[in-house]
Amino acid sequence: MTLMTLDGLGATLGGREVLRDISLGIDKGEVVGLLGPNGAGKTTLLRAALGLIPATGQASLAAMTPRDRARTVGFLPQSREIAWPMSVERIVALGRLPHLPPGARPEGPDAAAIDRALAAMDLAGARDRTATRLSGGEQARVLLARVLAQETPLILADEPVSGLDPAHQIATMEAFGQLAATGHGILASLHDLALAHRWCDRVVLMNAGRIVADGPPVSVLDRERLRAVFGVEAGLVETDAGPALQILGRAS
Amino acid sequence: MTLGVLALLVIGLFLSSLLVGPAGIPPGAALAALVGAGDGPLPIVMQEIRLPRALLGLGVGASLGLAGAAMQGYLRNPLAEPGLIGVSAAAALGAVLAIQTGLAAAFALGLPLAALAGAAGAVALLFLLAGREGGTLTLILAGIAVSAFAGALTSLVLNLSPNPYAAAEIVFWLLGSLADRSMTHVWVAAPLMVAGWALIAFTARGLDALTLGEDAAETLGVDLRRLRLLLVTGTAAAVGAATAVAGAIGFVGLVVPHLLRRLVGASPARLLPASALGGAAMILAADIAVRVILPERDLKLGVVTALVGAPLFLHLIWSLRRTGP
Repeated sequence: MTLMTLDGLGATLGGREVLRDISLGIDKGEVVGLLGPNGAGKTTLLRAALGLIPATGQASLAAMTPRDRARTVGFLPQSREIAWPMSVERIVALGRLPHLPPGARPEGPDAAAIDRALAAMDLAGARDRTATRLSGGEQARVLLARVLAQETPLILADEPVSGLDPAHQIATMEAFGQLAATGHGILASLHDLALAHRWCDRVVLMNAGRIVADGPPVSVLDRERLRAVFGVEAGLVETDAGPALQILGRAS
Repeated sequence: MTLGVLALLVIGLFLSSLLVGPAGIPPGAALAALVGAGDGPLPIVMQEIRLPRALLGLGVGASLGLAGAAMQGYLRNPLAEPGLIGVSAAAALGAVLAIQTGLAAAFALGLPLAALAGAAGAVALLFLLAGREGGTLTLILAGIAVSAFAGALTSLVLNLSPNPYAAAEIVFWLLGSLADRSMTHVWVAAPLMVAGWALIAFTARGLDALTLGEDAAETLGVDLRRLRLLLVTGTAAAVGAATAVAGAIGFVGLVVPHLLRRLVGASPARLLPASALGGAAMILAADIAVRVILPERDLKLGVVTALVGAPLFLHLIWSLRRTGP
């Protein structure tokens, strides 16, 4: 079942066309990596899909009411803002706002959702700590836990693993995989091509505001395309866990 | 817990405000006179002088504290204060014009009504400048512009005032006071203040979500345009009414949210009621202080809040430097 569709989406920011003719669907049960060099339009695509910026064309999420959208999709913005020195638990609890009647406190199923999110992001021991005093990577996990606590069918995440240590990067991708296995859909912009190659069910490759390839990582991330889009030389190396993508250097 | 302690503090200060005054009435007789018992001037002193003063202290303080907390939450900036959107400066200009033109002397409500007109004009100008769409930055810039313009016009009125007595009257009004207010002032200000509080109360959830930034808040279901409309009109109603009856009183909207933020776990929504109670406590306490310290010199309320507020603020900066944000 499709969780989100974009049809002929385009966006212009400051007189410059930054997104053009984007058509894309995200289905239940898949982890989709959104790849592309800096300035390719990944963040703009996510924001336009959510209706956060004016765009032309069709975006199913942008057409929803704010409340319905908040129960359909959780969004992790790229800028990691925590304005006030609130506890980790309170920050994660913000993810329950769309599900709570006005004035209610998270109890019962809401508290359970918060516990699950904290556990998934390895934060159960940090729930009473002040979020703004954590390290950058820990704060990133807190904010991702907030999105998980929202327990929406679809998650859009803008660079969810940047700033995380390797173990937590993998833990995050595993958490996405588990969500996909239970019928959720995930669209995450990523810069680590090897991570995307290994952990995504599907990757969407962008360049200069357009989608240039869309499919399984093994077919999208081939040497010619990586050279043309990213300007890097890459190769597959055999490992105990199967073939892994390795960036070898800049393309000459 | 925090709210309970603050509520008890406000109740205590409210009763003290009723019982402290130059007339030196015993507490029992004073409270009895409040409900009409006793004879002579006592019931009139209690009902027409002490009660409006205490009620206005409560309302003005709660308005300033609540609006300050909401403004800081909306702008995600601990240095924001309710005066930032220009409503206080514009209300003060309206009041000053009423004093200057003789409107204030002509009838009792001339001054507060002129001040409210000033506040309403500021909001209209604010939405004209910032638009209904724009972001927080345009709102701040528009507020600074309105504030600066109203301040300049107030200075111009002072500059052109015909004699030193008129100028002194304006300056003293600008310092803020709750002395010699009547129940009429309460009836003018209270409905607007309560309406303002109600509007601001609806921003609580949105302010919590804004902790994570505008994109995150919007995708959590918050309508940012509606939030801004509620915040600006609520602040204008509450703070405009407060300024209209009490003059320009600074530092309460800035310091009180700061002092209480840690105690409520820093959540902007929880800070709203705490800050309203804290603001009420601070104004009631300051108004008691002006009656106890130098009663013969008519110390002004705004002077006391600034005298107390500035060192408190310095202390906060100092503790912030030691412990980190």
